[in-house]
Amino acid sequence: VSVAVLVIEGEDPRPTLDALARQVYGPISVVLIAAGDGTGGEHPNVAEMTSVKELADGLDPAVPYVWILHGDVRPRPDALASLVDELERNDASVAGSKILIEGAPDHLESVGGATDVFGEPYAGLDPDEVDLEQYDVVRDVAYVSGVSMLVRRDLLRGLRGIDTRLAPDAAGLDFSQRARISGGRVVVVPSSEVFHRGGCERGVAPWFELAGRMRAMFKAYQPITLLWVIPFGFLVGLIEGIGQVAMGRWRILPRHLAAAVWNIWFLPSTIAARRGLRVVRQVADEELFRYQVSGSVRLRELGSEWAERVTSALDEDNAGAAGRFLRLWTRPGALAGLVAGATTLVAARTIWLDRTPAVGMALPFAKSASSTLAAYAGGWNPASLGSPEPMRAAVGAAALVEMLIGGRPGAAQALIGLAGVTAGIFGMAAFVRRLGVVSPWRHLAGLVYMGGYSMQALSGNGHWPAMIAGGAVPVALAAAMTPWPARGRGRLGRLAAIALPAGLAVVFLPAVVAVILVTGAALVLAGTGVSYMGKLAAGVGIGLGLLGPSVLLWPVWAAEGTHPAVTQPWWWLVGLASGVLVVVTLKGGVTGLGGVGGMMAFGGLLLSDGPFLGNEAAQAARLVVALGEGLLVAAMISVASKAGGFSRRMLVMVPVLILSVPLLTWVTSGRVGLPPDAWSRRLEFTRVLAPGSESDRVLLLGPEGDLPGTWRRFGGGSYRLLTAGGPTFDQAWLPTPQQGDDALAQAISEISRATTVRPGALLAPFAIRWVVVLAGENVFEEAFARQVDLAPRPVDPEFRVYENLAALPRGLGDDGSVWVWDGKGFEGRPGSGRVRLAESASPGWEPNWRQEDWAGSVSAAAGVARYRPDPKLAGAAIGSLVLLVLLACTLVWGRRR
Amino acid sequence: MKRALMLMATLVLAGAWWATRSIPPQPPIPALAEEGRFLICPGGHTGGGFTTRLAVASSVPGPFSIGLLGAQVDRAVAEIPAAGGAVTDLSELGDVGLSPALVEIPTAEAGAATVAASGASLQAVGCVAAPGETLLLPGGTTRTGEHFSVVLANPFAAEAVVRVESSSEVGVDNSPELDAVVVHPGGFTEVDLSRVLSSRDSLNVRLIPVLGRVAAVARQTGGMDVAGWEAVTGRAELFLPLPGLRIGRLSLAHSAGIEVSFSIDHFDEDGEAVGVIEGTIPATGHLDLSLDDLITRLAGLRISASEPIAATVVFDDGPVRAAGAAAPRLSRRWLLPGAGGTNSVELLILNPSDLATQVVISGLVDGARAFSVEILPQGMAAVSGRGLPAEGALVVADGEVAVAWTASFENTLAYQLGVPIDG
Repeated sequence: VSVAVLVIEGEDPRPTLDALARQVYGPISVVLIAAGDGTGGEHPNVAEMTSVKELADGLDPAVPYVWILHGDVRPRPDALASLVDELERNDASVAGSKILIEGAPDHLESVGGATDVFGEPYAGLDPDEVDLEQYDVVRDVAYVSGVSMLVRRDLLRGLRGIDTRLAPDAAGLDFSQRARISGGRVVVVPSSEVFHRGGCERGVAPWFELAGRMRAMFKAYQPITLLWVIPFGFLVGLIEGIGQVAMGRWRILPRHLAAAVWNIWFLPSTIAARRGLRVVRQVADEELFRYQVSGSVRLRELGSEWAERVTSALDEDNAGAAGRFLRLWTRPGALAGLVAGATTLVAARTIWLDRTPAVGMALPFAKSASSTLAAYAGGWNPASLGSPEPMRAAVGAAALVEMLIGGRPGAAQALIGLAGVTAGIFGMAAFVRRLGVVSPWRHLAGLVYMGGYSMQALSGNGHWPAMIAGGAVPVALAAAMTPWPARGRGRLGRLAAIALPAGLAVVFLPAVVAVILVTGAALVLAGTGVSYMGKLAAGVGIGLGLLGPSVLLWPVWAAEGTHPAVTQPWWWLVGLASGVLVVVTLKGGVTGLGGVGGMMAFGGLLLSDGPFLGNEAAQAARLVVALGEGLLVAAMISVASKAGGFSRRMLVMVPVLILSVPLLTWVTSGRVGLPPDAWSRRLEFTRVLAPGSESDRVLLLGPEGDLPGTWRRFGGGSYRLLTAGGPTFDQAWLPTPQQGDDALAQAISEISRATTVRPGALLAPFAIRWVVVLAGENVFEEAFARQVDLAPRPVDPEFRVYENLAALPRGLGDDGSVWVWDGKGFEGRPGSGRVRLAESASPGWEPNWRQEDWAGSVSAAAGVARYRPDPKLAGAAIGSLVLLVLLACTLVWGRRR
Repeated sequence: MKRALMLMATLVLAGAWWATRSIPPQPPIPALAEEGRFLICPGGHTGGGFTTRLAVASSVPGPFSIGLLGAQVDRAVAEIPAAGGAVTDLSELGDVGLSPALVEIPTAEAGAATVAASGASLQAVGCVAAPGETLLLPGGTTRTGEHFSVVLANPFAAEAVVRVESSSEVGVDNSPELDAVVVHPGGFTEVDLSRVLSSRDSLNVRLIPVLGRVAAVARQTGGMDVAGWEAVTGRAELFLPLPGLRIGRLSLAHSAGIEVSFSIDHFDEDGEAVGVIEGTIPATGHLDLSLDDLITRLAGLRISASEPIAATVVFDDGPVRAAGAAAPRLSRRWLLPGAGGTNSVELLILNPSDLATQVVISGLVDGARAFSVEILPQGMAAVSGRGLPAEGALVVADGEVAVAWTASFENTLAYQLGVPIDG
């Protein structure tokens, strides 16, 4: 044996050399590595070299082993003899010593250990664990400490020695992993005891150790492993970092960042090292996985620490509760749920830290919840030029939540959004559990459902209501799949548990009723849900009652809006590949589930991307695809958890990984897939530049997808009308065009043809004070260059903003007085004349309404103009509310024991 | 369960039908006004001894409005009668000196011109649209005794910025002061080229819109008279009916940046094409030709060029100053807004075709004089406009012609091109 003593900066190697001299198994030679200070000169037969590689290359082939030893250790006299004996007896390639702490000889530092898949060591030792010979058995380990290890000379030469860029622990891990994939065994020999002074660890930053472990991972794993290990490692690091911040340790996140930067910096040398390793690789990554613990060591430690804190927070009297709590934590399902919940929080961080981005249909709630509720309950729908048509039920529901939490629109929107996403993830996990997928990884199915390709096609287009509806769907499905209670009270509760989420889903996206029923029907076809279909249908039917006034009147199948079609054609290939893998790999009890998932994914994709469906029906079809994706992932997870071989397990996980790829952007964006904020405070200038004109209107002209909410088209483009101040959720859906809308469309068409020099005068009767032209809208370029009454206002670098110099107020008395819109109607100076209201003609206005062109006028005598609520719609709205309360009460009552 | 589901579906459908029928029926939508257009008249001038008539002519009767730029005065609304012409005295709207006007008229078949007169000067300038392209204004001079300026009018709501480039007898002759001339929304500005580029015998101006768009006229003052002419975009073929005056110049300009070759066909009242002149305009931008070298008496010119050019004729016979741009095309129908009201009006009609053309001229008021003349093939005619009203005249021919008109009294002269109103 030749000994390589790695000189540690600041440590005197002489005690180590003295201890070597006392070895019962005398080494042939001792070499100080990277010494250069003459310290070895005092000892006979001690040479000096600059690297282990140099030693390995220059050694006599007759020397079979090299003992790599740190210069801050004191091996027992029989340490080397034990290593040689056990290495030869076990036919191993690398043998590590038991490392004890110098000065506290009974305390263990390392007896080899396992790692997780991300390279995090798991020694299994408690801090200050005493050596009671409890680990004294020679065994295969994932890694041995680099402090003392005996290595076969030929292997050392083939692996080109120790990676000198790495910190000591990481270097040991790296070498052990490389030895193992070269076909060698790595064992720990506890009878070989070495006392370690720990000098090698002084001054080594934790991030540097982390960086080294990452590099070891990058060097050892095959590309297919790296494909999923890297993103999941990133996610784990992110969750750990945030979790640690919550416990007051802010350094973890920067540590991960520094490690990542270091690895990027040294990526060329890592790639070169991978190339070198390719020549000697004998086994696949599976051999490494054999000695790894499942899950993430760091997340496990984080969870334990949290649990400990919670326990310590409870007094002794609550020990039982604490115990239950701890037991809950230690359940894999709960831990997976925790990870899913943490992921959701990270993915939605912009929403709960700041606000829901105002984009697409995700528009800020109106400030006055009571006005919105009044409008919903048969009042005047203020969207566009107004309409007697009822508002969407989603607007009413949003206003109700806003009112319930004290009139805070931002908080209400965040609450609904977070509740929807969380319900979707956990609802999907519960749904697939009912279908037989019990693995804790089923939560991944929930994440893929809410953050996968299909749901991101919805959220990415700003279809916030569809996202919320999507969140409620699996909850209803899970409730329907739960075994039917024996007692009538329980059954009623269960029916309410189906009806409530189903109804809420339909409130936000009426077409979703088809999604629930299609899913139920698909499960029936697959033979997995026959007994539940009737309950599901009944629950959905009851839930439909929540819809109140709007759904029955709305043309839900053809409403305009951004079509959630997939624009990247390669997604189809991904889907196709996943489908093929499903067919190849699915066998056994989950075949039906996988089949249903595949069928729903592809059928839904055909429908949603095809020309057959209108916008909202296409959104519903998108939800079918999302459910299909979730079911596919669940089926795959189920297969993987039962699959025999590692290769088969990995093959099954490939489609899961492919379907999980969008989660990266979902999490990193922090907006649960919604696009960046486009409209918050964007139109504030309308209030600032024209105070007192807050109820006047803004005409937005631009490409369809860039306009907030739904829009209307004219010959050359698209437009929508808003109340000054900015888009709000109550204006998100434009009602069916009324007379005023038709007149406005004519006026806009005329302006686009550049045939008038006074477009402002044409827009004035509609109370349009502002015209905002979005980037990409060129139809009006000529018209707005040659006009005299739309004054450009340079208030936004991306928009062209014009103020209408000829603007008229929304309510104008024939004595010139201005009547102001107050959210419910108009108020102004009483008089003997009449007031023209720039609202689409409707006889519901009072008092004494008379039609004038496309609009109308009322008597100014009362000083107020109000719209007479439609009693039928008001009744329906109240009925919906009563039904909602009844369902909630029934749900609670039915669940009580 | 099936019965319950069917009952539920029936109820849903019935509810939808019941609720939908409660929406009131929609009355028909009233139609919006027909397409309209506008004309900018940068040549308006009120006060300071000037009286400016704004003559508006249209083949479609109806209302029109006039607003003065840069003046806090209300728009005036007037009516085009069935006969087709209306005259407004701009001083009735405001007494504000230079007063470009904006005419809004609900038809494309319309034209307008300002006729400004003082005791010793007469000037007629057409009203134009603002095309948003590079405009050419050849024909100016800033030599001693002459004053040359350009009026930029921006009736629009957006600010306009114009780069004013020029060439003179020395070649390219730009002033950094004119790199970015700002014209405020709804306003105008006068660029005094006699100050910026003084003592140039021959000055050609090019107006390049940087932001927004403007209409422009040149004002040349010499002796006692004032000449005004519109800035135009270039054309490859131009037509220029000329009176018999031979003292003056024909100025040709382009913005091509290369040498442009041209040829001029010459027609006279005898109905013969009397010759062709060929030449090149330098790359720097413009070329002046003496009228004395081009014509000997009443004549019409057809100018063809290898690149789009503008042509302006400038008469400077002693105290007389008059100028006008060449016609961009031929037409069978011409409106001559403002061509009348004095006995000195003379209509100039060029017929470059190979066939004789019968032309009917009628005044634009009820009961006005109407008469006809025949123009020889490849011929040119000057017809007296005696008896035509101040509103102007309509010229209808059975072949394609180009029409201009002159008016004069004492030592003054006005020259103005008509407005073609069909293809």
